[in-house]
Amino acid sequence: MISSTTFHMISTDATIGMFVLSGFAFMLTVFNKGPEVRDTVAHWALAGGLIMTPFAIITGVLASPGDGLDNPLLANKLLLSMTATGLAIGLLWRRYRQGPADRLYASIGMITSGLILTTAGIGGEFTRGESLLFLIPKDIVILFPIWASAIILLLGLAMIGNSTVKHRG
Amino acid sequence: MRIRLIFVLIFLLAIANFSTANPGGVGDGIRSMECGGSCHGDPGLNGLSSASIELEIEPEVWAEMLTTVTIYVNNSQPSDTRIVGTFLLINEDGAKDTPSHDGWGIVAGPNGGNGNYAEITSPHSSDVVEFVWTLRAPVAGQYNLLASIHHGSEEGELAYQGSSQSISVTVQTPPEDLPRLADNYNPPTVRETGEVTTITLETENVDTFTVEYRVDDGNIISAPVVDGKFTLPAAINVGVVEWRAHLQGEGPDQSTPWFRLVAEEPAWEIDDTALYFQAFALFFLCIGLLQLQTTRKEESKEYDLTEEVLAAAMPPISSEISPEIEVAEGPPLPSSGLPQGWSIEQWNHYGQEYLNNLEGGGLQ
Repeated sequence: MISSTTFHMISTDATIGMFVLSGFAFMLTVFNKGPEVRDTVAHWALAGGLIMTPFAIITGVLASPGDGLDNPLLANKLLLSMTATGLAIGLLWRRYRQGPADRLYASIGMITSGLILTTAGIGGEFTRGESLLFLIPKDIVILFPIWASAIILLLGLAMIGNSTVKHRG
Repeated sequence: MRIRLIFVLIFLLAIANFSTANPGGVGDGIRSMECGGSCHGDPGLNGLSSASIELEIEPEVWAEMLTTVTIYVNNSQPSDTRIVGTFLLINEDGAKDTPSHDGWGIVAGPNGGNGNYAEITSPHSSDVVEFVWTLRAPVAGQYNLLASIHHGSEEGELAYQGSSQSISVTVQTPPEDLPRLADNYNPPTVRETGEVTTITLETENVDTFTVEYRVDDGNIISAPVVDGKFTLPAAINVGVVEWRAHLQGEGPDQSTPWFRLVAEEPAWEIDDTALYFQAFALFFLCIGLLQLQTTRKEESKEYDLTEEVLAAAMPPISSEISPEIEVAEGPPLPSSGLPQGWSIEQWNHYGQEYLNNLEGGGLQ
Protein backbone atom coordinates (compact mmCIF):
# COMPACT_ATOMS: atom_id res chain seq x y z
CA MET A 1 0.00 0.00 0.00
CA ILE A 2 1.30 3.40 -0.94
CA SER A 3 0.68 6.20 1.51
CA SER A 4 -0.76 9.57 0.60
CA THR A 5 2.60 11.08 1.54
CA THR A 6 4.26 9.26 -1.36
CA PHE A 7 1.53 10.35 -3.76
CA HIS A 8 1.97 13.89 -2.49
CA MET A 9 5.70 13.72 -3.19
CA ILE A 10 5.07 12.49 -6.75
CA SER A 11 2.42 15.08 -7.59
CA THR A 12 4.40 17.87 -5.94
CA ASP A 13 7.57 16.99 -7.82
CA ALA A 14 5.68 16.99 -11.11
CA THR A 15 3.97 20.28 -10.32
CA ILE A 16 7.07 22.07 -9.15
CA GLY A 17 9.13 20.74 -12.05
CA MET A 18 6.72 22.11 -14.59
CA PHE A 19 6.40 25.47 -12.89
CA VAL A 20 10.18 25.78 -12.67
CA LEU A 21 10.48 25.02 -16.39
CA SER A 22 7.79 27.58 -17.11
CA GLY A 23 9.50 30.19 -14.94
CA PHE A 24 12.83 29.58 -16.66
CA ALA A 25 11.28 29.94 -20.12
CA PHE A 26 9.54 33.14 -19.03
CA MET A 27 12.87 34.42 -17.75
CA LEU A 28 14.42 33.81 -21.16
CA THR A 29 11.55 35.79 -22.66
CA VAL A 30 12.14 38.68 -20.29
CA PHE A 31 15.80 38.84 -21.25
CA ASN A 32 15.04 38.09 -24.91
CA LYS A 33 17.44 35.15 -24.93
CA GLY A 34 17.16 31.62 -26.18
CA PRO A 35 15.09 30.08 -28.97
CA GLU A 36 11.70 31.35 -30.08
CA VAL A 37 10.09 28.21 -28.74
CA ARG A 38 10.59 29.59 -25.21
CA ASP A 39 7.13 31.17 -25.27
CA THR A 40 5.47 27.90 -26.20
CA VAL A 41 7.45 26.01 -23.58
CA ALA A 42 6.62 28.58 -20.92
CA HIS A 43 2.89 28.40 -21.50
CA TRP A 44 2.62 24.64 -21.99
CA ALA A 45 4.68 23.99 -18.87
CA LEU A 46 2.47 26.46 -17.03
CA ALA A 47 -0.60 24.55 -18.22
CA GLY A 48 0.95 21.24 -17.13
CA GLY A 49 1.74 22.61 -13.70
CA LEU A 50 -1.76 23.97 -13.43
CA ILE A 51 -3.27 20.57 -14.24
CA MET A 52 -1.11 18.85 -11.62
CA THR A 53 -1.78 21.44 -8.91
CA PRO A 54 -5.14 20.02 -7.73
CA PHE A 55 -3.55 16.57 -7.30
CA ALA A 56 -0.78 18.10 -5.20
CA ILE A 57 -3.30 19.98 -3.07
CA ILE A 58 -5.58 16.97 -2.50
CA THR A 59 -2.77 14.56 -1.63
CA GLY A 60 -1.22 17.26 0.56
CA VAL A 61 -4.42 17.65 2.54
CA LEU A 62 -4.65 13.86 2.97
CA ALA A 63 -1.02 13.58 4.03
CA SER A 64 -1.10 16.54 6.38
CA PRO A 65 -1.26 15.79 10.09
CA GLY A 66 -3.90 17.57 12.14
CA ASP A 67 -7.30 18.83 11.20
CA GLY A 68 -7.94 21.78 8.97
CA LEU A 69 -6.02 25.01 8.84
CA ASP A 70 -4.47 24.91 12.29
CA ASN A 71 -1.16 26.47 11.31
CA PRO A 72 -0.27 29.87 9.79
CA LEU A 73 1.99 28.13 7.30
CA LEU A 74 -0.99 26.24 5.88
CA ALA A 75 -3.04 29.43 5.64
CA ASN A 76 -0.24 31.17 3.73
CA LYS A 77 0.09 28.14 1.46
CA LEU A 78 -3.59 28.40 0.60
CA LEU A 79 -3.42 32.13 -0.18
CA LEU A 80 -0.24 31.87 -2.22
CA SER A 81 -1.33 28.84 -4.23
CA MET A 82 -4.70 30.38 -5.08
CA THR A 83 -3.03 33.63 -6.14
CA ALA A 84 -0.53 31.74 -8.29
CA THR A 85 -3.28 29.61 -9.82
CA GLY A 86 -5.24 32.74 -10.70
CA LEU A 87 -2.20 34.30 -12.33
CA ALA A 88 -1.46 31.11 -14.26
CA ILE A 89 -5.01 30.85 -15.62
CA GLY A 90 -4.95 34.53 -16.48
CA LEU A 91 -1.68 34.15 -18.38
CA LEU A 92 -2.92 31.15 -20.33
CA TRP A 93 -6.16 32.86 -21.19
CA ARG A 94 -4.31 35.94 -22.34
CA ARG A 95 -1.96 33.81 -24.41
CA TYR A 96 -4.92 32.07 -26.09
CA ARG A 97 -6.45 35.40 -27.04
CA GLN A 98 -3.51 37.59 -27.81
CA GLY A 99 -0.53 35.46 -28.73
CA PRO A 100 3.03 35.33 -27.42
CA ALA A 101 3.94 37.03 -24.17
CA ASP A 102 5.77 40.33 -24.08
CA ARG A 103 8.15 41.28 -21.30
CA LEU A 104 5.41 42.39 -18.93
CA TYR A 105 3.54 39.11 -19.13
CA ALA A 106 6.73 37.10 -19.04
CA SER A 107 7.60 38.91 -15.81
CA ILE A 108 4.20 38.00 -14.39
CA GLY A 109 4.90 34.42 -15.45
CA MET A 110 8.13 34.50 -13.46
CA ILE A 111 6.26 35.86 -10.45
CA THR A 112 3.72 33.04 -10.78
CA SER A 113 6.49 30.46 -10.78
CA GLY A 114 8.08 32.17 -7.78
CA LEU A 115 4.82 32.07 -5.84
CA ILE A 116 4.47 28.34 -6.47
CA LEU A 117 8.05 27.74 -5.35
CA THR A 118 7.40 29.76 -2.20
CA THR A 119 4.31 27.65 -1.56
CA ALA A 120 6.40 24.50 -1.88
CA GLY A 121 9.04 25.98 0.41
CA ILE A 122 6.42 26.63 3.07
CA GLY A 123 5.29 23.01 2.73
CA GLY A 124 8.84 21.87 3.41
CA GLU A 125 9.01 24.05 6.47
CA PHE A 126 5.67 22.70 7.69
CA THR A 127 6.59 19.03 7.36
CA ARG A 128 10.32 19.05 8.08
CA GLY A 129 11.00 22.38 9.73
CA GLU A 130 13.48 23.20 6.99
CA SER A 131 13.34 25.95 4.41
CA LEU A 132 15.61 27.94 2.13
CA LEU A 133 13.27 30.91 2.43
CA PHE A 134 14.86 32.32 5.57
CA LEU A 135 13.85 35.93 5.12
CA ILE A 136 10.20 35.55 4.28
CA PRO A 137 7.93 35.85 7.32
CA LYS A 138 5.77 32.78 6.85
CA ASP A 139 4.03 32.73 10.20
CA ILE A 140 2.18 35.99 9.62
CA VAL A 141 -1.15 35.70 7.83
CA ILE A 142 -2.52 38.83 6.22
CA LEU A 143 -6.25 38.30 6.46
CA PHE A 144 -8.62 40.87 4.99
CA PRO A 145 -12.06 41.53 6.46
CA ILE A 146 -14.77 39.70 4.56
CA TRP A 147 -16.15 42.93 3.09
CA ALA A 148 -12.74 43.73 1.62
CA SER A 149 -12.50 40.25 0.13
CA ALA A 150 -15.98 40.71 -1.28
CA ILE A 151 -14.94 43.93 -3.00
CA ILE A 152 -11.85 42.23 -4.41
CA LEU A 153 -13.95 39.32 -5.62
CA LEU A 154 -16.44 41.64 -7.30
CA LEU A 155 -13.61 43.59 -8.94
CA GLY A 156 -12.10 40.40 -10.29
CA LEU A 157 -15.42 39.11 -11.60
CA ALA A 158 -16.18 42.50 -13.16
CA MET A 159 -12.84 42.54 -14.95
CA ILE A 160 -13.36 39.01 -16.24
CA GLY A 161 -16.92 39.82 -17.32
CA ASN A 162 -15.89 43.04 -19.03
CA SER A 163 -13.13 41.26 -20.91
CA THR A 164 -15.43 38.42 -21.91
CA VAL A 165 -18.05 40.80 -23.29
CA LYS A 166 -15.49 42.80 -25.26
CA HIS A 167 -13.99 39.71 -26.82
CA ARG A 168 -17.27 38.06 -27.62
CA GLY A 169 -17.46 36.92 -31.21
CA MET B 1 27.61 34.17 -20.26
CA ARG B 2 27.49 30.37 -20.25
CA ILE B 3 30.78 30.12 -18.38
CA ARG B 4 29.54 32.54 -15.76
CA LEU B 5 26.36 30.50 -15.36
CA ILE B 6 28.38 27.32 -14.91
CA PHE B 7 30.53 29.03 -12.27
CA VAL B 8 27.42 30.16 -10.40
CA LEU B 9 26.02 26.61 -10.44
CA ILE B 10 29.31 25.14 -9.23
CA PHE B 11 29.44 27.74 -6.46
CA LEU B 12 25.90 26.92 -5.33
CA LEU B 13 26.68 23.20 -5.29
CA ALA B 14 29.89 23.81 -3.37
CA ILE B 15 28.24 25.78 -0.58
CA ALA B 16 25.37 23.31 -0.16
CA ASN B 17 25.54 21.28 3.01
CA PHE B 18 24.89 17.69 2.05
CA SER B 19 23.47 15.81 4.96
CA THR B 20 21.86 12.42 5.28
CA ALA B 21 19.99 13.57 8.37
CA ASN B 22 16.72 15.43 8.70
CA PRO B 23 17.86 18.21 11.02
CA GLY B 24 14.30 19.48 11.41
CA GLY B 25 12.99 16.05 12.35
CA VAL B 26 10.06 14.31 10.69
CA GLY B 27 7.44 14.60 13.42
CA ASP B 28 5.81 12.04 15.68
CA GLY B 29 3.98 9.12 14.14
CA ILE B 30 3.68 5.39 13.68
CA ARG B 31 6.91 4.29 12.07
CA SER B 32 8.75 1.08 11.47
CA MET B 33 12.45 0.95 12.26
CA GLU B 34 13.02 0.65 8.52
CA CYS B 35 11.79 4.19 8.26
CA GLY B 36 14.44 5.08 10.76
CA GLY B 37 16.93 4.20 8.08
CA SER B 38 15.08 5.47 5.05
CA CYS B 39 14.25 8.76 6.71
CA HIS B 40 17.96 9.42 6.89
CA GLY B 41 18.94 8.08 3.50
CA ASP B 42 20.75 4.78 3.22
CA PRO B 43 20.60 2.94 6.58
CA GLY B 44 24.08 1.63 5.87
CA LEU B 45 25.43 5.17 5.97
CA ASN B 46 24.17 5.89 9.49
CA GLY B 47 26.70 6.27 12.24
CA LEU B 48 26.52 4.47 15.57
CA SER B 49 25.22 6.70 18.31
CA SER B 50 27.31 7.07 21.44
CA ALA B 51 24.17 7.53 23.56
CA SER B 52 23.22 5.14 26.32
CA ILE B 53 19.61 4.02 25.99
CA GLU B 54 17.69 2.40 28.82
CA LEU B 55 14.16 1.08 28.65
CA GLU B 56 12.22 0.77 31.89
CA ILE B 57 8.95 -1.11 32.35
CA GLU B 58 7.42 -3.30 35.04
CA PRO B 59 8.61 -6.84 34.32
CA GLU B 60 5.12 -8.17 34.97
CA VAL B 61 1.99 -6.34 33.87
CA TRP B 62 -1.69 -7.23 33.71
CA ALA B 63 -3.22 -8.19 30.42
CA GLU B 64 -5.31 -5.49 28.68
CA MET B 65 -4.54 -2.99 31.41
CA LEU B 66 -2.56 0.23 31.23
CA THR B 67 1.13 0.45 31.95
CA THR B 68 3.96 2.84 31.15
CA VAL B 69 7.30 2.47 29.43
CA THR B 70 10.06 4.98 30.08
CA ILE B 71 13.08 5.34 27.82
CA TYR B 72 16.09 7.30 29.03
CA VAL B 73 18.50 8.60 26.39
CA ASN B 74 21.77 9.95 27.76
CA ASN B 75 24.66 11.69 26.03
CA SER B 76 23.23 11.56 22.54
CA GLN B 77 25.21 14.62 21.30
CA PRO B 78 22.59 15.57 18.74
CA SER B 79 22.69 18.26 16.04
CA ASP B 80 22.23 21.98 16.59
CA THR B 81 18.48 21.54 16.63
CA ARG B 82 19.01 19.06 19.50
CA ILE B 83 16.18 16.86 18.28
CA VAL B 84 16.29 13.22 19.35
CA GLY B 85 13.85 10.77 17.80
CA THR B 86 12.98 7.52 19.56
CA PHE B 87 11.18 4.43 18.31
CA LEU B 88 9.40 2.04 20.67
CA LEU B 89 9.73 -1.35 18.97
CA ILE B 90 9.21 -5.06 19.52
CA ASN B 91 12.15 -6.29 17.43
CA GLU B 92 14.97 -5.10 15.20
CA ASP B 93 13.72 -6.74 12.02
CA GLY B 94 12.98 -3.42 10.34
CA ALA B 95 9.44 -4.45 9.43
CA LYS B 96 6.35 -5.42 11.42
CA ASP B 97 8.17 -4.14 14.45
CA THR B 98 5.78 -1.63 16.02
CA PRO B 99 4.18 -2.53 19.38
CA SER B 100 0.78 -2.86 17.74
CA HIS B 101 2.08 -5.90 15.84
CA ASP B 102 2.22 -7.71 19.21
CA GLY B 103 -1.13 -6.36 20.37
CA TRP B 104 0.14 -3.47 22.47
CA GLY B 105 -2.07 -0.42 22.32
CA ILE B 106 -0.44 3.00 22.50
CA VAL B 107 -2.66 5.21 24.65
CA ALA B 108 -0.30 8.17 24.81
CA GLY B 109 3.15 8.95 23.48
CA PRO B 110 5.72 11.29 24.99
CA ASN B 111 4.16 14.29 23.28
CA GLY B 112 0.58 13.18 23.71
CA GLY B 113 0.10 11.42 20.37
CA ASN B 114 -0.48 7.72 19.81
CA GLY B 115 2.49 6.82 17.61
CA ASN B 116 5.44 4.62 18.43
CA TYR B 117 7.90 7.29 17.21
CA ALA B 118 8.38 10.59 19.03
CA GLU B 119 10.80 13.48 18.85
CA ILE B 120 11.90 15.54 21.82
CA THR B 121 14.32 18.44 21.91
CA SER B 122 17.19 17.60 24.17
CA PRO B 123 17.94 20.29 26.78
CA HIS B 124 21.32 22.01 26.48
CA SER B 125 21.95 21.71 30.18
CA SER B 126 21.82 17.98 30.81
CA ASP B 127 21.71 16.10 27.49
CA VAL B 128 19.28 13.63 29.06
CA VAL B 129 16.02 12.98 27.28
CA GLU B 130 13.15 10.99 28.76
CA PHE B 131 10.45 9.40 26.61
CA VAL B 132 7.35 7.99 28.32
CA TRP B 133 4.71 5.90 26.60
CA THR B 134 1.43 4.75 28.14
CA LEU B 135 0.49 1.36 26.75
CA ARG B 136 -2.43 -1.00 27.02
CA ALA B 137 -0.99 -4.48 27.45
CA PRO B 138 -1.88 -7.28 25.04
CA VAL B 139 -3.31 -10.68 26.05
CA ALA B 140 -1.30 -12.83 28.44
CA GLY B 141 2.06 -14.00 27.17
CA GLN B 142 5.74 -13.19 26.93
CA TYR B 143 6.74 -10.12 24.96
CA ASN B 144 9.82 -8.10 24.13
CA LEU B 145 10.19 -4.34 23.91
CA LEU B 146 13.16 -2.24 22.88
CA ALA B 147 13.96 1.33 21.96
CA SER B 148 15.89 2.74 19.04
CA ILE B 149 17.00 6.32 18.62
CA HIS B 150 17.98 8.56 15.73
CA HIS B 151 19.62 11.93 15.85
CA GLY B 152 21.95 14.17 13.92
CA SER B 153 25.36 15.40 14.92
CA GLU B 154 27.00 18.76 15.36
CA GLU B 155 29.03 18.18 12.21
CA GLY B 156 25.77 17.54 10.38
CA GLU B 157 27.04 15.11 7.79
CA LEU B 158 25.64 11.91 9.24
CA ALA B 159 22.60 10.59 11.05
CA TYR B 160 23.30 8.42 14.08
CA GLN B 161 21.41 5.40 15.25
CA GLY B 162 21.39 3.41 18.46
CA SER B 163 19.28 0.74 20.14
CA SER B 164 18.62 -0.38 23.69
CA GLN B 165 18.73 -3.89 25.04
CA SER B 166 15.57 -5.84 24.42
CA ILE B 167 13.48 -6.10 27.61
CA SER B 168 11.27 -9.09 28.29
CA VAL B 169 7.81 -8.38 29.70
CA THR B 170 5.46 -10.95 31.16
CA VAL B 171 1.82 -10.18 30.64
CA GLN B 172 -0.44 -12.04 33.06
CA THR B 173 -4.15 -12.57 33.21
CA PRO B 174 -5.50 -10.39 36.06
CA PRO B 175 -7.61 -11.85 38.89
CA GLU B 176 -11.34 -11.50 38.44
CA ASP B 177 -11.77 -9.08 41.35
CA LEU B 178 -8.71 -6.97 40.69
CA PRO B 179 -9.45 -3.26 41.15
CA ARG B 180 -8.78 -1.70 37.79
CA LEU B 181 -9.59 1.06 35.37
CA ALA B 182 -12.41 0.27 33.00
CA ASP B 183 -11.33 -1.55 29.86
CA ASN B 184 -12.49 1.24 27.60
CA TYR B 185 -11.07 4.04 29.72
CA ASN B 186 -8.52 6.25 27.99
CA PRO B 187 -7.01 9.03 30.10
CA PRO B 188 -6.75 12.50 28.53
CA THR B 189 -3.30 13.13 27.11
CA VAL B 190 -3.28 16.73 25.88
CA ARG B 191 -4.71 20.01 27.12
CA GLU B 192 -4.12 23.71 26.57
CA THR B 193 -2.20 25.95 28.92
CA GLY B 194 -4.37 27.89 31.33
CA GLU B 195 -7.02 25.20 31.29
CA VAL B 196 -8.17 23.42 34.46
CA THR B 197 -8.71 19.73 33.78
CA THR B 198 -11.42 17.70 35.50
CA ILE B 199 -11.08 13.96 35.03
CA THR B 200 -13.74 11.37 35.70
CA LEU B 201 -12.18 8.03 36.48
CA GLU B 202 -14.01 4.96 35.16
CA THR B 203 -13.19 1.89 37.22
CA GLU B 204 -14.15 -1.74 37.83
CA ASN B 205 -14.09 -3.64 41.13
CA VAL B 206 -13.14 -0.41 42.93
CA ASP B 207 -14.69 0.77 46.18
CA THR B 208 -12.58 3.88 46.72
CA PHE B 209 -9.62 5.51 45.11
CA THR B 210 -7.20 8.35 45.73
CA VAL B 211 -5.34 10.42 43.17
CA GLU B 212 -1.99 12.16 43.26
CA TYR B 213 -0.11 14.18 40.69
CA ARG B 214 3.35 15.58 40.18
CA VAL B 215 4.95 18.17 37.96
CA ASP B 216 8.48 18.55 36.67
CA ASP B 217 10.08 19.08 40.07
CA GLY B 218 8.82 15.70 41.23
CA ASN B 219 6.83 16.79 44.31
CA ILE B 220 3.80 14.56 44.69
CA ILE B 221 0.54 16.31 45.54
CA SER B 222 -2.78 14.70 46.45
CA ALA B 223 -5.84 15.65 44.45
CA PRO B 224 -9.21 15.51 46.25
CA VAL B 225 -11.69 13.10 44.67
CA VAL B 226 -15.36 14.12 44.64
CA ASP B 227 -18.03 11.86 43.10
CA GLY B 228 -15.41 9.92 41.21
CA LYS B 229 -13.90 13.10 39.74
CA PHE B 230 -10.74 14.99 40.47
CA THR B 231 -9.26 18.22 39.14
CA LEU B 232 -5.77 19.01 37.97
CA PRO B 233 -4.75 22.67 38.19
CA ALA B 234 -4.14 24.69 35.05
CA ALA B 235 -0.65 24.72 33.58
CA ILE B 236 0.89 28.15 33.31
CA ASN B 237 3.50 27.08 30.77
CA VAL B 238 3.95 24.32 28.25
CA GLY B 239 4.89 21.16 30.12
CA VAL B 240 3.73 17.88 31.57
CA VAL B 241 1.80 16.95 34.66
CA GLU B 242 1.64 13.30 35.65
CA TRP B 243 -1.06 11.69 37.75
CA ARG B 244 -1.94 8.26 39.03
CA ALA B 245 -4.67 6.63 41.08
CA HIS B 246 -4.51 4.16 43.96
CA LEU B 247 -7.44 1.78 43.65
CA GLN B 248 -8.94 -0.12 46.59
CA GLY B 249 -11.52 -2.91 46.35
CA GLU B 250 -12.11 -6.53 47.26
CA GLY B 251 -9.01 -7.70 45.41
CA PRO B 252 -5.45 -6.60 46.09
CA ASP B 253 -4.87 -2.81 46.01
CA GLN B 254 -3.55 -1.50 42.74
CA SER B 255 -1.78 1.64 41.59
CA THR B 256 -2.16 2.82 38.03
CA PRO B 257 0.93 3.90 36.10
CA TRP B 258 1.80 7.58 35.95
CA PHE B 259 -0.36 9.09 33.23
CA ARG B 260 1.07 12.09 31.41
CA LEU B 261 -1.02 15.11 30.59
CA VAL B 262 0.82 17.39 28.17
CA ALA B 263 0.00 21.09 28.26
CA GLU B 264 0.35 22.85 24.91
CA GLU B 265 -0.07 26.39 23.71
CA PRO B 266 -3.62 27.04 22.52
CA ALA B 267 -4.00 25.93 18.93
CA TRP B 268 -3.60 28.58 16.28
CA GLU B 269 -6.98 29.62 14.97
CA ILE B 270 -8.18 31.63 12.02
CA ASP B 271 -11.55 32.51 10.56
CA ASP B 272 -11.77 29.77 7.92
CA THR B 273 -14.60 31.50 6.04
CA ALA B 274 -12.66 34.76 5.71
CA LEU B 275 -9.53 32.90 4.65
CA TYR B 276 -11.22 30.82 1.93
CA PHE B 277 -13.17 33.85 0.75
CA GLN B 278 -9.98 35.88 0.46
CA ALA B 279 -8.24 33.05 -1.38
CA PHE B 280 -10.99 32.86 -4.00
CA ALA B 281 -11.13 36.66 -4.24
CA LEU B 282 -7.41 36.79 -4.99
CA PHE B 283 -7.83 33.97 -7.50
CA PHE B 284 -10.46 35.84 -9.52
CA LEU B 285 -8.70 39.19 -9.11
CA CYS B 286 -5.49 37.80 -10.64
CA ILE B 287 -7.35 36.34 -13.61
CA GLY B 288 -9.25 39.59 -14.07
CA LEU B 289 -6.19 41.83 -13.80
CA LEU B 290 -4.44 40.03 -16.63
CA GLN B 291 -7.52 40.28 -18.85
CA LEU B 292 -7.85 43.95 -18.01
CA GLN B 293 -4.34 44.53 -19.24
CA THR B 294 -5.22 42.71 -22.45
CA THR B 295 -8.30 44.85 -22.98
CA ARG B 296 -6.37 48.06 -22.52
CA LYS B 297 -3.83 47.04 -25.10
CA GLU B 298 -6.52 46.21 -27.61
CA GLU B 299 -8.35 49.41 -26.82
CA SER B 300 -5.23 51.36 -27.65
CA LYS B 301 -5.24 49.65 -31.03
CA GLU B 302 -8.90 50.51 -31.43
CA TYR B 303 -8.15 54.25 -31.07
CA ASP B 304 -5.01 54.18 -33.15
CA LEU B 305 -6.06 56.40 -36.13
CA THR B 306 -2.66 56.66 -37.81
CA GLU B 307 -3.78 54.87 -40.95
CA GLU B 308 -6.88 57.01 -41.34
CA VAL B 309 -4.94 60.29 -40.95
CA LEU B 310 -2.33 59.22 -43.46
CA ALA B 311 -5.01 58.18 -45.90
CA ALA B 312 -6.70 61.57 -45.67
CA ALA B 313 -3.47 63.53 -46.06
CA MET B 314 -2.10 61.74 -49.13
CA PRO B 315 -3.87 61.28 -52.49
CA PRO B 316 -4.70 57.74 -53.41
CA ILE B 317 -2.03 56.06 -55.44
CA SER B 318 -3.49 53.92 -58.12
CA SER B 319 -1.51 50.92 -59.07
CA GLU B 320 -3.41 50.55 -62.35
CA ILE B 321 -1.89 52.60 -65.14
CA SER B 322 -4.07 53.06 -68.14
CA PRO B 323 -1.99 52.31 -71.23
CA GLU B 324 -4.39 54.40 -73.37
CA ILE B 325 -3.51 57.61 -71.46
CA GLU B 326 0.16 56.94 -71.70
CA VAL B 327 0.05 56.03 -75.39
CA ALA B 328 -2.33 58.76 -76.44
CA GLU B 329 0.55 60.55 -78.17
CA GLY B 330 1.41 57.58 -80.36
CA PRO B 331 -0.59 55.19 -82.49
CA PRO B 332 -2.87 52.59 -80.90
CA LEU B 333 -1.08 49.51 -79.62
CA PRO B 334 -1.51 46.31 -81.59
CA SER B 335 -3.36 43.42 -79.98
CA SER B 336 -0.02 41.76 -79.19
CA GLY B 337 0.99 44.78 -77.08
CA LEU B 338 4.31 46.62 -77.15
CA PRO B 339 6.99 45.09 -79.35
CA GLN B 340 9.49 43.17 -77.34
CA GLY B 341 12.12 45.40 -75.75
CA TRP B 342 10.26 48.66 -76.49
CA SER B 343 9.36 51.34 -73.97
CA ILE B 344 6.23 53.45 -74.18
CA GLU B 345 8.29 56.52 -75.13
CA GLN B 346 9.84 54.59 -78.01
CA TRP B 347 6.38 53.56 -79.11
CA ASN B 348 5.19 57.19 -79.09
CA HIS B 349 7.98 58.18 -81.35
CA TYR B 350 8.48 55.17 -83.54
CA GLY B 351 5.24 53.26 -83.25
CA GLN B 352 3.69 54.48 -86.49
CA GLU B 353 6.84 53.60 -88.38
CA TYR B 354 6.78 50.15 -86.82
CA LEU B 355 3.17 49.62 -87.84
CA ASN B 356 3.90 50.79 -91.38
CA ASN B 357 6.83 48.37 -91.67
CA LEU B 358 4.80 45.60 -90.17
CA GLU B 359 1.94 46.29 -92.61
CA GLY B 360 4.28 46.45 -95.63
CA GLY B 361 6.16 43.38 -94.54
CA GLY B 362 2.92 41.63 -94.05
CA LEU B 363 1.85 42.36 -97.58
CA GLN B 364 5.13 41.44 -98.95
